Amino acid sequence: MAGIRPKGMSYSRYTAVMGVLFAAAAVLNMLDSAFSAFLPAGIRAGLSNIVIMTAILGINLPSAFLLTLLKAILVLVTRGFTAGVMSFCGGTAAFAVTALLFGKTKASYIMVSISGAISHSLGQLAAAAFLLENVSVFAYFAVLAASSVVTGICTGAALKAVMPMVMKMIPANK
Amino acid sequence: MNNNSGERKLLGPLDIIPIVILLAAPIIYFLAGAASGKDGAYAEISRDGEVIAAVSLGTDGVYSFPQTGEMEFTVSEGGITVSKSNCPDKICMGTGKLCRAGDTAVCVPNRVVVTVCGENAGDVDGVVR
Repeated sequence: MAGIRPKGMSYSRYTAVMGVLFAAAAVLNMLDSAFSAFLPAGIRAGLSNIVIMTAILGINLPSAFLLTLLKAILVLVTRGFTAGVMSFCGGTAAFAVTALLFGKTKASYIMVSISGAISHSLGQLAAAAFLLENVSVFAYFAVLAASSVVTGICTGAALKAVMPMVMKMIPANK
Repeated sequence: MNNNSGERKLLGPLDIIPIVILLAAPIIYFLAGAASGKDGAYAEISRDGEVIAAVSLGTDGVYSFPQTGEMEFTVSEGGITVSKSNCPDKICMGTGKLCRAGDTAVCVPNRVVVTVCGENAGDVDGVVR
């Protein structure tokens, strides 16, 4: 843990901030499940990605990846093995793309969110194709690409709105 | 990277291009399928990448197979649906009725894929990307 805590941030504050972020991810993940009942098959809103993006911008990359792993473990426990594996693969792909775009480009919040959502879908489809030994799962991609735009606009706007408040919680950042 | 957050925009003017393309993707995909896709002749049901059954879409009926456990497949009016499954999310059932060659329903927890095929088996590779 010590290795990934940002310098200048006390251990207790880091623990509290990570706890708050993981709790937020867990609640948003439950909201995703609740909403998915009203959406076409296979589409989830992906609200918990807001938390991962917050951690990428506000804390550091290792902490954001730790939250991605914790989220996958939560899904593994609450929704089973398949969902857990797919959450891990989707989450890791989304983390990599989001970190790259936030770190290396000036892409807008909404574009980064949409790209993250699409890479999440692609990561999950790749996991499904691997589990099923069948690439026909990519037939779902057209629908997921369009839903990623809708969800990306929502999560990008939410991210921009909450970032100032999250940064207040993390005074270690300049 | 934190220095960026102040100047980063919510939405850039050029962002509209990928947004429109991505929103149009499923519309184009389904229109292309409707224009070129043939009505399916039979459905292949596979588990772990191996075909376990081919079901004709010409005759209505309800099917289940030992390899697919509690899953049930219903053929009616030239299409097939996953009508029963013990998986948690029911995405396979929510996919609905598959009628055209290339239409696919997937149940990842049960490792089962249902794909509709046209008259000859060579069709499939052309439709599913």
